[in-house]
Amino acid sequence: MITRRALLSVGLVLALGAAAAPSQAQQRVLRLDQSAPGRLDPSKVVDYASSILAMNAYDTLVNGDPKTGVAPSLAESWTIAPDGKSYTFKLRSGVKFHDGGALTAEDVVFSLDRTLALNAGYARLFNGIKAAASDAQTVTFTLPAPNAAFLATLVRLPVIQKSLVMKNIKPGNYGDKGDYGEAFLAATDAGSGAYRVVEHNPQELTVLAKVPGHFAGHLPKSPDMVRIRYGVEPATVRTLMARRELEVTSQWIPPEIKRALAESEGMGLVAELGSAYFIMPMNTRRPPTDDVEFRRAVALGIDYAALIDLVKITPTVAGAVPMTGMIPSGLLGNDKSLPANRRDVAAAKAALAKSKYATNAPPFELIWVAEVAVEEKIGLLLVQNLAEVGIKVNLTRVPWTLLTQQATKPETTPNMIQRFVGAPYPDPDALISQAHSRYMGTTLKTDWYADPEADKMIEAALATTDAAKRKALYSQLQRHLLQSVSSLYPFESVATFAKQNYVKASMLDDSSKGVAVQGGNWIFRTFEIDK
Amino acid sequence: MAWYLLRRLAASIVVLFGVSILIFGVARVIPGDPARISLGPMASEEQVAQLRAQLYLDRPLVAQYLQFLRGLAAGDLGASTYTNRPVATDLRQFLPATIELVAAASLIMVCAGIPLGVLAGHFRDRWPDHVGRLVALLGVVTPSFVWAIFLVLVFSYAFDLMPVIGRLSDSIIPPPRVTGLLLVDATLAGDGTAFRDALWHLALPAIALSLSGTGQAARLTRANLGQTYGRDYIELARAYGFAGRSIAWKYALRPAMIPTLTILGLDFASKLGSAFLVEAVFVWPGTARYGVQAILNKDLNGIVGTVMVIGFGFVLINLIIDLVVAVLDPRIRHRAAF
Repeated sequence: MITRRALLSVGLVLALGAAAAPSQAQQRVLRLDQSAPGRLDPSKVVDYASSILAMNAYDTLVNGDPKTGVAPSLAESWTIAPDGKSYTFKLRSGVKFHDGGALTAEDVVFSLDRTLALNAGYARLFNGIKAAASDAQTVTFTLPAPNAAFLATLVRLPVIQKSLVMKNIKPGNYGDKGDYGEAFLAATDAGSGAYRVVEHNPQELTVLAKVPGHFAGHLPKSPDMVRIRYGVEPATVRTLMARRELEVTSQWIPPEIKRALAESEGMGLVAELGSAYFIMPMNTRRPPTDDVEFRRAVALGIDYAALIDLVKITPTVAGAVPMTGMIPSGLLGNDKSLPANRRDVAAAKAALAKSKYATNAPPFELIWVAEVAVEEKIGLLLVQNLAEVGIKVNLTRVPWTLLTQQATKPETTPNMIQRFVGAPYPDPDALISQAHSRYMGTTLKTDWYADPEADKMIEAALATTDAAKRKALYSQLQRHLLQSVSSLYPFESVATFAKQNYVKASMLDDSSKGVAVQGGNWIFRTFEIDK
Repeated sequence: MAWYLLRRLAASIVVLFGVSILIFGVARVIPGDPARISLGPMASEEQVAQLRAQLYLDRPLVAQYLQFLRGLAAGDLGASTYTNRPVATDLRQFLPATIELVAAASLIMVCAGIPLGVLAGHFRDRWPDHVGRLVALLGVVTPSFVWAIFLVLVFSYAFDLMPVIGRLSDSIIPPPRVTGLLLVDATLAGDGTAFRDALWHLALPAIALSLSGTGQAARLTRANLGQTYGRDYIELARAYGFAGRSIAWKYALRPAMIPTLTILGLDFASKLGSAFLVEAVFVWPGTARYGVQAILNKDLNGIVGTVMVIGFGFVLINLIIDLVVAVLDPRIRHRAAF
């Protein structure tokens, strides 16, 4: 029963003034949206949102660089042994973690050990690698074999504060290390990055605060606070942008909403290019795509110009650009001399006539992932294009969870899937290694095309540290793989984001400053808010 | 009465046990490998196998269920592969948000739906009845997410009157967490600013969520009142010259309330799970949204934990409704005593 006293209490509270709450209006606040959930543990990063968090709350030995591939960060310098199996890093001195503790080589060793023990996220990039600290500022990594991509992979090894984590371990699966701080790092950070976590709800919001005095520096009008909201519906994003309650959208909102925002006063679009592409692998073990001529007919039947036009955002902002080969333009090995994708209906029909499915072809199953709406439009275009060639396509909507299950066997993998792929680190191996047969049975390699020669070429290119030689090897590899027509690479995808004009993001506004790393251009200390 | 309560409690435990077995099995039938989904497409087979072992997925189903029961007894619902945190931590953080939203929606349903139904029932077949029925029908036939988007477009986008998302404005420092219910925590902290802001943020999602239930409550109340008004004792009260308002509220409403309360109680419990779309539109960090994401990402522990919490909510509310109905209707109490 509601008593008078209870009513009085509520009334009193309502009547209280605003004195209790200090205003945060003087701070520069950057508000973004991203896909849920936001995962904080830097050793478990798998997606765009958690990449952004890790890259701001933590530092790495090196950062991506648009010109040189990698640039010094926590590591001031490094030397590579002549056999390419040992890297010695000299750490920058005076770097502090967010709690004031000094960052030393022991923390780097701990970070690698933790990543390998948890065996999640990008741990597979460091398999077989050991680290040892020879003094507080020197750490040496020993590799099982030469690896030209090793330096680039270090953007995926955030350095975690050992002492703080060990102070907060709970019982777990890792012996004397307990849970290795899994519970602790899921709720807060133990990093040295230019921003620290002050609040975190993986389904709603992460709040980051600027760390003054960070060794890399902040731009003068960089945000004091960053608020990342998760899982905001597109209609809500549009409303928030119109009310100036959001500064930058995620790339996942539909093109129609991006278009509408681009046409709104005070807003525009920015793009990330050079690190991602769209791939359409064909299952080479399931009829009718088990026949190379049939696959060639499909390749020649697609209207690539219309496909690129389909994902255009505005007349001046593309959602895709034509691609040659298998490596996007921002990475070593991109080869513009490779044959371009082209449509030739007559040649497609001729290829179909040569295939064993010239008449009475079994159903051709093309799927689109339910969570990626644009794939339905692409699928419908392909249905129309291939009908002109004489190929009947069954377009099916499949949830991602079902596709991961279907991809485990050749007989259940669809004839063709659609996938957007981004480079997790600034090296061509990040993408072209997915053509290696070790990825069969996963959604990374649904063409089921085993090519031992290609596998050897991928491994050889990875072991070659000379950039010119690597580039030549990648050109050769691409020519070899493209002959099998096991996968199509219709375009390089351009990630686009709507942004308020009063926000400057140097690595997004100027593509020459961007790096080819998923989430790598969202370094908040390089943003500025000028309201 | 005590015996009645004990019997209901025992039945509730059996129901919860059954729910746990059912959802445990059903969650594992959803396509996809939870370890592969959680680790992402670039994970190696070895990584996937390691995580599967950590999740006990390499063991027989019965062994997995027994492990779950052991954890449940210790208050451990396992780790979520979706958020990478303990499920208990997730639910502790998200559940108060949903409870607050659903409670506010239920309050609106009761305070608006029942009076609307009384009005319609009292003025049967006259214009207040027609208007009331139209409003109620509109509430029932329109899905809550449509109302949510409509309210955002009108009050937030067009007229810029109400906040769009979340539980608090960015500029407000949240009150110290005691219950997780912002209105309660703000009251306990004496923070009027946070209380007003939280109430303002709660308004639109609660209204959106309540409209279908309000319509239902109005229609049920009207229908039950119609039946009650046909009874002899109401005719007698009229013959004695009692005021219409007195007849409606004192004599007709109490027996008419029983089915309405039962349905409202079930509606409240079901909204704990079905509030997902409203939570999605308003970016309300609640359990319903978490549960749906757990399903989409095949987060087995998240699915089971969420369903168990909602199941427990259902059972508890059913129990409370049964008790309230027993209070309202002495015949039930006396029958139960025998």
